[in-house]
Amino acid sequence: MSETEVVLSVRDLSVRYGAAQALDGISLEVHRGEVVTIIGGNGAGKTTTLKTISGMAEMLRTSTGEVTFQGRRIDGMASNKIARLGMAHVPEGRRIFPAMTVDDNLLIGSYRRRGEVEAVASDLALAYERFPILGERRRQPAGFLSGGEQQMLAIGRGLMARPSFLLLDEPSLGLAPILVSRMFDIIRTLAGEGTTILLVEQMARLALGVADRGYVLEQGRIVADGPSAQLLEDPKLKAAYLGG
Amino acid sequence: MVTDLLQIFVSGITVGSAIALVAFGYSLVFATTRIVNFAQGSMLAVGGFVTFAFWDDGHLGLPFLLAFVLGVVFMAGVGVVIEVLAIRPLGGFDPSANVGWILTTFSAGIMSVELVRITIGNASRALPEPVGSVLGWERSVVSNVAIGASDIALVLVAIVVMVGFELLQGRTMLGRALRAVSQDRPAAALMGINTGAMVTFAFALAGALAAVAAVFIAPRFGGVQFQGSIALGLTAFVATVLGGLGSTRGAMLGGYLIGFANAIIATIPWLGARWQDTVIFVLFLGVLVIRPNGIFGEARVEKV
Repeated sequence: MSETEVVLSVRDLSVRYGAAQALDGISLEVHRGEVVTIIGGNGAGKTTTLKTISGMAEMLRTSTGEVTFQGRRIDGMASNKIARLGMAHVPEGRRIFPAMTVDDNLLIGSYRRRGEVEAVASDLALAYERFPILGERRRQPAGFLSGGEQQMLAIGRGLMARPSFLLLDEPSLGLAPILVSRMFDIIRTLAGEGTTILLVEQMARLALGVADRGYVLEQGRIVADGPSAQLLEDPKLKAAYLGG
Repeated sequence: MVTDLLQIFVSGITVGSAIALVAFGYSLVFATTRIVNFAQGSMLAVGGFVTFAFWDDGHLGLPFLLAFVLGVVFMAGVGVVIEVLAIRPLGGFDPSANVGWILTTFSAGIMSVELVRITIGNASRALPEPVGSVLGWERSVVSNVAIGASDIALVLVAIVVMVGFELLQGRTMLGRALRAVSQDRPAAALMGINTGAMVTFAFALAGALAAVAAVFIAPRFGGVQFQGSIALGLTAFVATVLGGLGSTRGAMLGGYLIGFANAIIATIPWLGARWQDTVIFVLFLGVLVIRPNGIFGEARVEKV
């Protein structure tokens, strides 16, 4: 693993919300072409980790540590600048633009590629090929889509940036079981295409099923990490996160 | 009767256009920031007086068209200054919980008007017909109703702004970015959009449109003046809420509704212009009872 390019490196990252220590000195790495997952329970700090990496959190002033993306320090950088470097964060709760059409939601995802008119048009066609249900609703306001469709739209919107690194925050959250497995199929497809992904999930078994490696987060600390196969066999994790 | 109808039409569509342009500014700023810029009405007064100062021989003495363009650019700058001085220092605040912006925008409006009073003067000032001075035709009287070149220009400007902004919103990346910022600012930033720049752009556009409205409505108001401008600014706020705060279409529609309502009230013999504000506010409250979010107020589509 060490000879491949490090896309993201997080060193000793700590984040405070007032008196609460949300993250307590975590370190992690993601290499080019890898799918890495962060698993853990509610409130373990998974979403905080992603928000701090992408600059989405307004907690930057109370964070310490280093975040390096493609060789460049990005801790403290504004989220719009980080996005323009090629990181796409598909946030928790989807955060699609409800009053904009499906088309416009996808197109705004390509904001950092203004000027690449033809490439964006072909990527839009590709997005509808990937998610045919979105194509059927391209002129509808995104707020009218179902939860699963909104999640597909959020992922499609992220991909429209042609990111070199994709952050996915709980893509299965609030979805019916059949849609959850569909969502993991999508992630598997993206992984097969060579997309570098950092996936945050509560569905630990499924997440480790698509990921090359995983980190286990507990109360703001990384308590275990390693190849997915190894984590899936860990007796302690089996008891705590993998349902026995 | 024909005179009355024509009078209502001409007055409604011109005053409505002026209200609509200012209401558009309120709505655009609200859409991108969730705050109401209470300095918007003052900007109307300031825009008129600044343009006067650029043109008047006692001040800069520039050709009128140049003075007008400079006035519009200057007011775009004033919009930006208000955003930088009155909004940005409040930081990353939640506008619904921290209402400091009510005071800061009001103060900015009062201060800018007072600065104009001190530097340019307090009296009403006449401005030339902005278009008439170029075309040579200033106004005609048709069936006892005066129609001026600036009236027509004002309506055309409002239409151009409306159509232009609709096209901008629907077809350009800048328009999509503005809508994204208005719907979810942190998510918009994740798309790579510089959300702060979008807010600044909204304030600049609102300021520029205030100057445009001020200059084109001046001939109808007998010149630029503080009282009338600030009253028109307040009326435009009512129009904005009537149309649905945050909806630029609603703001323009609200502007025309109030413009026409005012014109109708003024021609009713037993009411007349002195009843305009009272009747407008009664109608306004009536509409809000039926549609609390205004006519175009978006019933928020959100799903978890």
